Amino acid sequence: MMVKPVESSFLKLQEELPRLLNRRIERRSDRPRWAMVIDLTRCVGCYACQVSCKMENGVPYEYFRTHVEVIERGTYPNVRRVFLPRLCNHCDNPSCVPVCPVGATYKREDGIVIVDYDRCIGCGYCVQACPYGARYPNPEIGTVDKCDYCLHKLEDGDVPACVANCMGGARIFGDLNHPESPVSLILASKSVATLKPETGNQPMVYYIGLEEAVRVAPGEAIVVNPKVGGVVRV
Amino acid sequence: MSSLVWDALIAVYPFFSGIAAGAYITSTLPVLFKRDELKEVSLLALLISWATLIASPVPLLLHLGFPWRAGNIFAFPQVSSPMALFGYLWIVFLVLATISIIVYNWFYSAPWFKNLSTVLAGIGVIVAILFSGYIGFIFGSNKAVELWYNPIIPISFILSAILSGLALVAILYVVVWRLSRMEVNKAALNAMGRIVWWILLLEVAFVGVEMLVRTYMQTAGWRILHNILMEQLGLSYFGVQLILGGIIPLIILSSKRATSSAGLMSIMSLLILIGVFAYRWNLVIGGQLLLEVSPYTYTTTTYTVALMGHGSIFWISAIFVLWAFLMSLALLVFSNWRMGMKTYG
Repeated sequence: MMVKPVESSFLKLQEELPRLLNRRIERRSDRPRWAMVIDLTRCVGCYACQVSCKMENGVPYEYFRTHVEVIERGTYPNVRRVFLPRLCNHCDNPSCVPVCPVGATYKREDGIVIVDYDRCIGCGYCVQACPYGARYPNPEIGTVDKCDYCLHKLEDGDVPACVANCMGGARIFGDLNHPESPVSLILASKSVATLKPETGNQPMVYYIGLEEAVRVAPGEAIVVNPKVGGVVRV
Repeated sequence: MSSLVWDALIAVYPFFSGIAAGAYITSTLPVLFKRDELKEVSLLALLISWATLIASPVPLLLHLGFPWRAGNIFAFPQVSSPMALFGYLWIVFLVLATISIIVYNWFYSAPWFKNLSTVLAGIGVIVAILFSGYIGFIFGSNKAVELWYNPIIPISFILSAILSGLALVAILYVVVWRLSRMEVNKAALNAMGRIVWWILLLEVAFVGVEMLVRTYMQTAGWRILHNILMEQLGLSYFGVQLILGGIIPLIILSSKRATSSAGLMSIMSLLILIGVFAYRWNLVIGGQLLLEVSPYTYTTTTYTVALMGHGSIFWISAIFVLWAFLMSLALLVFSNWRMGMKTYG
């Protein structure tokens, strides 16, 4: 007697999962220029991007290629929390690249700033030169490490892990050289801002709702204390 | 995280490179600036410079993630990086110092000695200034770090380099001469004391002006940095760098009696040396205690030196022992410094 296989939704999901998690890049040009838009109005602070990045890239304990900064604004009782996902900005004029004494970090034609792990001597100069704190000395491999937009996935036509796993759809990734890519459409239609434009680095990670998120009173400076999770105003 | 990207080893490196440059400049004073009373310390200063120069890359090598790839700086130098300059400047400086020592130790009576020593001193001073200045440039040109991003730092580094070199030469002049039962020349001590005083005055003025401008500007980052300086680095900044290594020697050495006294000069020079080390420490470590995470938002961190492990007290002590060994070796091998004024005077 033939046993009919059970139609399990769980099994179906298991089959579908790789396809769902590996979202393909559909609209791209022959010579892509990759960029990311982060919509802060859609970020819910779930840390899925942070966790998936660590899993995908084997990022060591206590270090991050991307992380979600939690910023508190206002004074009691009028307070709010802002989630600010951060990663390498793959700047057009990166300050980390010219300082490398051995040319181990460079900007590719497609806009991605990467580290040549075979050449890097691990001096940490690029870590110091990055105004976004996006690099870290990887104690497991001895060199500096950073976000590379999940280059291995990108070369297979998939979006980076943080984008694929963003449950709120806050991270949008695409080719600036394709007029109908998601990032091109957003940049053409919405108001975006970058972190620290005054550095002259010309960051290529754009934020929607940044000004609203980081707005502070004139002259106010805020210290996020990582030890107690508290906020100190100076 | 309690560990910093550039830990205590990186604070040791500019301290060493400053001494190497400063001691070399001290050795050139009789030749280039006709300070004949300092002829006696020329070879001693050169030996200090040479030994310190050899020891100076050790903290850097120990700090690298891949020390055995250090040769990449020579194989694939990126000219836009001030750090890439290091290898070349270091080699040129070491070659110059070595030739100078050989000439001063064995060929001081040759007819071409004066001309060659003048040429070596002239080139050497430029290389020494570049050597200490480029490190200041690495910090001063870094726009990502609030405390470092400052055009005064390269100049301040050159001044403090000369200061630390002169101070160590003065200390070792007294110690080595006393141990060798030789008479310390008060004119030489006094000359070093006067130069140290003027440079210290400039250095304190530079640091003071920098503080004044930053305090007046009241940028958001500076206000937090100021808190770090007052709290975490309060003792090493105000106590050691400014008061112990700056104001006190400046007051004491303003008297000619102090600069002519071997004991007082040694103590004041030691204070200056400690102050210069504190300056390197406060700059390298202090700069990294504050990180701007987004506009007007900062995180602070703390740092304590570990007893063992990477960048620990153990390794720093080992480097200082190596440095002392190299200096002793140099004094034993190139022993003409014993001739003192009889040779060059």
